[in-house]
Amino acid sequence: MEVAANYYNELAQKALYDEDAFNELYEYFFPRVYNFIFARLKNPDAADDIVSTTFMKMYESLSRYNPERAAFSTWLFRIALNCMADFFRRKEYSNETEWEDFFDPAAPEYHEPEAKALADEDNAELLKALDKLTDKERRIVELKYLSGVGNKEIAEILGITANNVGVVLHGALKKLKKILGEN
Amino acid sequence: MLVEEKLERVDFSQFSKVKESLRLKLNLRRRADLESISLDELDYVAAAGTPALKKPEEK
Repeated sequence: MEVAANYYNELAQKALYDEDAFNELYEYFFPRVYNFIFARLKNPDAADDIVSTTFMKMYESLSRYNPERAAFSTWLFRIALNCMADFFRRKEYSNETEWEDFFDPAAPEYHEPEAKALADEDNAELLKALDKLTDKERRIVELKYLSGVGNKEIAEILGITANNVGVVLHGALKKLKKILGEN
Repeated sequence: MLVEEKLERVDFSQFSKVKESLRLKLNLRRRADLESISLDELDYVAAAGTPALKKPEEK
């Protein structure tokens, strides 16, 4: 995990000048950032909005990225978190109604391809289960499994210790398994 | 399948409508910025290389 983090730190520094490096960085992080945002919002248009802002801000600040201060993943996910916070502040956003619409065959949204993906039983079950975790548990699980971020980077992103990440993660997985009926 | 495995398999990014257009936009900006840095550098080099103008001799 350390090796991978260093690799992407260096790639980020090359990415300003090297198109292949930029594309590789983008290809690796776009799905990870998108998953993180989408799992919270469950709205593809809003997720597109926020992921676009996140990557634009990433690019605008890339020349100032310092790998001595933080791993690139830490830096990028902090940008994503700030963009999501801005989004929630700008709007009186409630995901309750829109989330339920994805499950309602009568709702027009149900027929969108992404709604069908959400309506896929496994995905829907997982997202519903994640809704039952605390904010902290949920953020850690999403960063770890939906975004592939290591415990050390998760700790840096959230401003907690790596030990705390491990403890919360253990408890959150136990909760999820109970909710999903897994032994 | 374990819950960890189920979570790791999830990929909602396939439904993004902006992935490719955003990549293109960022690359265009990156190239434009690099070009303007190159032009600035050329200006600097040109300015540094200009010999000092001699004042015409006063009669």
